[in-house]
Amino acid sequence: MSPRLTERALLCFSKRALKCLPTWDLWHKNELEQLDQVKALGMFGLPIKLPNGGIPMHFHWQCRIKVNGKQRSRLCWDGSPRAAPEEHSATNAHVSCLEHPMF
Amino acid sequence: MIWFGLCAVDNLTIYSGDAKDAFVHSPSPLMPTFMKLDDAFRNWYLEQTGVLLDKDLVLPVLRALQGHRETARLWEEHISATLNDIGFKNTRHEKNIYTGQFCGKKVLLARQLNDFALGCHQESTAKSVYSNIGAMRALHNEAEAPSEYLGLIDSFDGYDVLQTRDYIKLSAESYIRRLLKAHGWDNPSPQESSNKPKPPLHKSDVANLFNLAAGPVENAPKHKALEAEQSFGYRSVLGKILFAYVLCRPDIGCAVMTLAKFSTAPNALHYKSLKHLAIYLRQIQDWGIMCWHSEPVTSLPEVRCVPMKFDDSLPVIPPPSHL
Repeated sequence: MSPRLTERALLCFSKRALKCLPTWDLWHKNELEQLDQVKALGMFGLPIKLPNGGIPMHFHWQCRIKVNGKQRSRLCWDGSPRAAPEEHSATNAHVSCLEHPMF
Repeated sequence: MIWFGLCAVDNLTIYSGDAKDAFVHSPSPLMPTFMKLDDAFRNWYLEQTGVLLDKDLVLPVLRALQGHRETARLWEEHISATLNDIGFKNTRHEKNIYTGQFCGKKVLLARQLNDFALGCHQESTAKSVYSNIGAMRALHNEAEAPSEYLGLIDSFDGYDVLQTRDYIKLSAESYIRRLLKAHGWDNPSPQESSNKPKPPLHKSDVANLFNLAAGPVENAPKHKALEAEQSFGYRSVLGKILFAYVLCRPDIGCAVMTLAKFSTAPNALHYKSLKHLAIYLRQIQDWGIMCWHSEPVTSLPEVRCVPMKFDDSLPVIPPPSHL
C-alpha cells in the first residue's frame, strides 16, 4: 500500500500514528510552518513561570488532509473539560444571537 | 437563502471574500491564559533561538486560538465591530446578515464564520469593501491584509451558486456528488433504462412502506445483518440526504420525511426506497432554487433555464413575465 493510502486508512490522525508513517516529514514541516506563523502574528508572549491563579492549557495538534490533498497540522488549544476544567467553569462563551425587540 | 433572493430582487451581483486566520486576529480571552510547552514547540524554539526551554515554563496567550471556549465569541464580537466601523449594520434576528450604503448604493453582506458574500452593483465596490475589512483587521506587524477577494461567488455555506443574467440559482450539486461518491453510487448502473428522472418515491411502494411489517430494531443482530447486506447505514444516508433537503431541495421533502418515520426499524423496502431517493438525486443533481432578477443583469452571462420535471402531467412554471 502506498504511503498516501496508508495515511488515509488511519481512523484518527493522531501524532503518535502519523510519526510511524513515511509521510511524517510533510506533517512535521507543516507543524513548523504553523509555529512560524503564530510567532509572526504575536500569538504568544515570552516563556515565563506560571503565575498564581493562571489557567494552564495544553497544545493540541489537529491533523487533517485538506480537500486539495495537502497535509495540515493546525495548532489548537485542548479546551476539553478534562484538560481544562478551570477554564470551563470560569469563562463566558455566550454570544447573543438574538436581540429581543424592546417595546 | 432569503438573502440570495433579496440580492436577486435588487439585481445585485454577489462577490465572495474570505477572512484569513480569523481566530488569530481576534483579541485574547478575557481571563489570562497560559500554554504549557509541548515537545514540538520546545524543539522549534531550540532551532530558532538555541535555547532548550524548561517543561515547567508556560507561554502567555496574547490572541484567540481554536479550541478555547471563548474563541467563537471573541471572533463574533471582533468581526461585528469591524463591519460596524466600515458602515454595515446587522439585522436584528439574523446577526450574520448586514446592510450598508457604499457610494450611495445599497450593499448586502452575508457572513458564515469567516466567509463573506457581498451583493453589490459594481465589482470595484466589492474589492473596496474586502480591502477595508482586511485593513481594519490587520495586525501592526502584518504586511499583508488578512482578507482575500475571491471574485464572483460560486459556493457559499454548502450551496452551489450560479449567477446568470436573469437569475441566481442555488443548488446542492457538489454536496450531492460527494454524497454519491462516498457510497459508490456516482455512476449510473446498466439496469437504469432511462435517464428521465423518476419521482423521489415510487408510487407503488408508498403504501407498502407503511403496510409492511417493521424491520429489525436498531442494534439487533438482524438489523446489523440487513445493514451489511444493503451495504449502507439507513440513518447515515438519511441524514446526508436530509441536509440536501434543508439546503435547497424541497422536492425531496415529502420523501425524506416519510422515510425518516422508519429510522428505528427499517425493513428491506425502506432501504430500497432510500437508495432510490439517492439515485433520484443523482439524476437531477443540478436542480435547485431559482431567484429571478427583477431586471436582467447584463454584466453576467446568459444561461437559459430549461424547466425539468419527472411527471409530464405537472405544469411547467414559466420564468417571470418581465424577462
